[in-house]
Amino acid sequence: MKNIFVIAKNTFRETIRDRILYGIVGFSFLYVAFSILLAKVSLGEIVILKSFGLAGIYAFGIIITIFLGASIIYKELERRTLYFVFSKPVSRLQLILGKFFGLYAAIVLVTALMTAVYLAVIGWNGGGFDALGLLSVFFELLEMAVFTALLVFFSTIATPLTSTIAAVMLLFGGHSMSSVLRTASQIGGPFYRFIQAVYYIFPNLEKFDIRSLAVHHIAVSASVVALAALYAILYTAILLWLANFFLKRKEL
Amino acid sequence: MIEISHLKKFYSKRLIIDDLSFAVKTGSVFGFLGQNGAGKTTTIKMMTGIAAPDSGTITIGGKDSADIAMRETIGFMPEAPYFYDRLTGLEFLRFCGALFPRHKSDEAYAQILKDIGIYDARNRSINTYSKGMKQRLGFAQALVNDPDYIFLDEPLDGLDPLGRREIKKIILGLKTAGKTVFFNSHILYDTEEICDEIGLIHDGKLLYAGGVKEFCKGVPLEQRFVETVEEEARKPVSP
Amino acid sequence: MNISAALKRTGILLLLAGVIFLQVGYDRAKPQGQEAEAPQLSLPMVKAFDLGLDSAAAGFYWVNQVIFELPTLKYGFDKFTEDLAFVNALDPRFSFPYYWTVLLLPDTNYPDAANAAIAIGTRGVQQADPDWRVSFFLATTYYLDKNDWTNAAKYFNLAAQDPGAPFYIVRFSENFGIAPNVRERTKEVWQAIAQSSDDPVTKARAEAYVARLDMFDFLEQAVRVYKQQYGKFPAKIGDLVSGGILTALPQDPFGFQFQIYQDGTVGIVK
Repeated sequence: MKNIFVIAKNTFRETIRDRILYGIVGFSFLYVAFSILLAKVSLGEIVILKSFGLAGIYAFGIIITIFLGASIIYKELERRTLYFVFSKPVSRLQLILGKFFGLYAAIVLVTALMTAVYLAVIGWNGGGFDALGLLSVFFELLEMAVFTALLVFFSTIATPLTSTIAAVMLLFGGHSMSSVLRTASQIGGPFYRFIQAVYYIFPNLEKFDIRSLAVHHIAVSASVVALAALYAILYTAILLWLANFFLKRKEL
Repeated sequence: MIEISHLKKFYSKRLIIDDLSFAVKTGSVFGFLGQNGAGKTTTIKMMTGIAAPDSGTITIGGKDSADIAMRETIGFMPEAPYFYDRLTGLEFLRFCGALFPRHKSDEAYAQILKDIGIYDARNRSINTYSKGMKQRLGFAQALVNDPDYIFLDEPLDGLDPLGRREIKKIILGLKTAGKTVFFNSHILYDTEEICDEIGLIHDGKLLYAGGVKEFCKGVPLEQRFVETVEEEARKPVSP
Repeated sequence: MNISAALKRTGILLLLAGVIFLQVGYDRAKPQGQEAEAPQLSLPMVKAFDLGLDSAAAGFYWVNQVIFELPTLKYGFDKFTEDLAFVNALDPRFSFPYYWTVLLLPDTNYPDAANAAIAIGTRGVQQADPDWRVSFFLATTYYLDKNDWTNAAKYFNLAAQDPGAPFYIVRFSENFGIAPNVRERTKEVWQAIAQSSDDPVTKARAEAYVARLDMFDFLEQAVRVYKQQYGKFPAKIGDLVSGGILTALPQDPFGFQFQIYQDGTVGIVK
C-alpha cells in the first residue's frame, strides 16, 4: 500500500515538472483573456462567460490528460525505467495504481488552478460565487478519472499515437451515445441490440456533463451526483484491472 | 547462496535459455560472461524477478525468485539505464529506497552517493548527468536497501579507465562486507581480476561454471573464451 | 566577420519585409466580394462533435455570427430565423438571443417584423431562463407596434416578477397604465428601454424617441399659446416661428418634419 503512495508521489513530481505542461496551462490563461473579450462583445452576458469558461476548463483538461497519459506506461516500457521498480518488492498492480493516482493528482491540480481563475473571473463580472460551476468541475474530474484510467490502460498495450487516437474516439463516442442509441432504435433489429450493448458496456460520458444545466442555474439532485461518482469509480476500477492484467502478461 | 536449476525460457517459440544450472557461493563475486545476445540479460532479469522462467527454479538466499519478498534482499543495476530525467539524483535514490519496507535516511543515501562518486551532483536533475554519472547512479540505487545480493548488468559499460577502477574497487568492497555480487559482462579482461568464479553462456547454453584460474589454465581469459565458444559452434546442432 | 553578420541580419529583415509586402499586395489584389455567407450547420452534426458543450456552442455561434445579422437582416429574414432556431435548439434556455431579437427585429425593414418578434418572444418566455428582458421587450413590442395594451400589461407584469429585474422595471410595471394619456405611457416605455439598455445604439434610439415625444409636448404647448394669441390653430408648423411664438423649431431627432393636425396636436410627416 505504501508503495502505491511512493510511486504516485514520484509520478506526480515527474509530471508536474514537464515544461510542455506549463505551455498548455499558459495557453489556458490566454483562453481566459479571449473569453473575457468575447463576453465584452456580448455585453457582459454572464451566461456566455460561464459557458465559455467551463468549456475551456474541460477542453484543456482533456488535452492535458491525453498529453500526459498517452505515453505514461509506454514510456517506461520503452525506456526500461520499470527495471528499477520491478527488481524491488513492488507488484504490477502497485505500479499501475501508483502511476494512475500520481497522474490523476497532477490533473486535479491543474484543473483546480484553472477553476480558481474561472471563479475569480465570474465573481469579478458580477456572477457571485458560481457553486454550480464548481459542481460541474467536480463532474468533470469524475470524467477525467475514467479518462485517465483509460489512457493508463491503453498505454500498457499500445503506442502513444494509437492510445491517443483510441482515447479521442472513445471521448467523442462517449458523448454521443444517447443520440446514437436513439437513431439505432429507429433502425431496430440486431443492429439496435448491438448498439444497446455498446451503450451499456463502453464508457458513457454524457452523465458527467452538467454544464448546460449549471450555466442556467439548474441544480442536480444528490442521487445523480452519487450515481455519477459511483459509475466513475467502478469504471476506473475496471480499466485499471485491465491495465494490470495486460501489464502482467507483458514481457519486460 | 544463489541456486539456478534447469532454467528454460522461450521467446516467440524460440528457446533462448536452454536448461541453465549453476550456483553462486555466498560472499563471492560471480562474473556471467558471454557474447551479446547470448542470454545474459534475460538470465539476470529472471533472477531479479523482472521476468519469469518458463520452467526451472531460481533460489536466492533460500527464497524463490517468484516470491516478492525475495526482492527485499537484492539490488539490481540495469544495463545502460534510463532514468526519470526530471528528478534529481537524491530524489531518485529516495524514491527507490522508499519502495522497501524499511528505508534509510538521507544521510545514508548521501553516503552511498559519496562512495559511488556522484555526491556533488545529488541535487541536479538527472538529465544533466553524463553517461558515466548515470551509470554510477544506476549502481547507487542497487545499494539503497543494503542488499545481501547485488545483480549488475554490464556495470563497467561506458566508463572510462578511472571509472572502471573505482567500480571494481566498490565491487571488491562489497565482497569484503560479505555481500554476494553477480554481474554480466562482455568485456573480459577487466573481470579476471575481481571474479572468484565465472559462468560462460553461449546461445542460451551454459558452457562453463566454476573458478577462473581453472578455466584459464594460464592463458588470458579472453583467449580461452573465444576458443570455448568456437569449439561449441563447431559441434553439430542437436536434432 | 562583422560585415557578414550585419549582412545576414539585413537579409532576414528584407525577407520579412518581403513577406509583409506580398501579403498587403495579395489583400489588395484578391477579388472584393461580399462577405461569404456562412454555411448552414446541421444540428445533429454539431451535437455529435461538441462533446456536450451545447451552451458554449450556442453562445459562440450567436455572438460570432447570428447577432450581426440584426439589425439589417443582411442575409435575409429566412436565413436569420433559421440561424436563430439553430441557436435556440442547441440551448433553449439561453435568453440572450430571444430578447435581443425581440428588441431589434421590429426596427428592421421586414414587413411582418412585429408579429415575428412576438412569436419569438413568446417562445422565449416559455423556454428560456427566467429573464426579465425577454418578457419586457415582448411587452414593449406589443405596446409600441401592435397597440395591444392587454398583452403588454401581462408581459410587463411577468418581467417585474423576475427576481433579477432592476427596480425601475418593477416600478414601471406597477405604474403602467396609470399615466394620463397614451403619449405619457409611451414616453415611460421608451424611458424604461433607455434605462435598461447596455447597448449604446439602443439606448440612444430610445432616448431620441423620448426627446421627440418631449418635442411634441413642447410644440403642442406653443400651438396653444398661438391659439390664445391669434384665436386659431396655426396652419403649418412654421407659423409658430413667423407668429413670434418660437424663435426656432426644434429638430426631430430622426430628421422628420413636424406637422400640425386640425385639432392642434402635433405629429410627424412620415
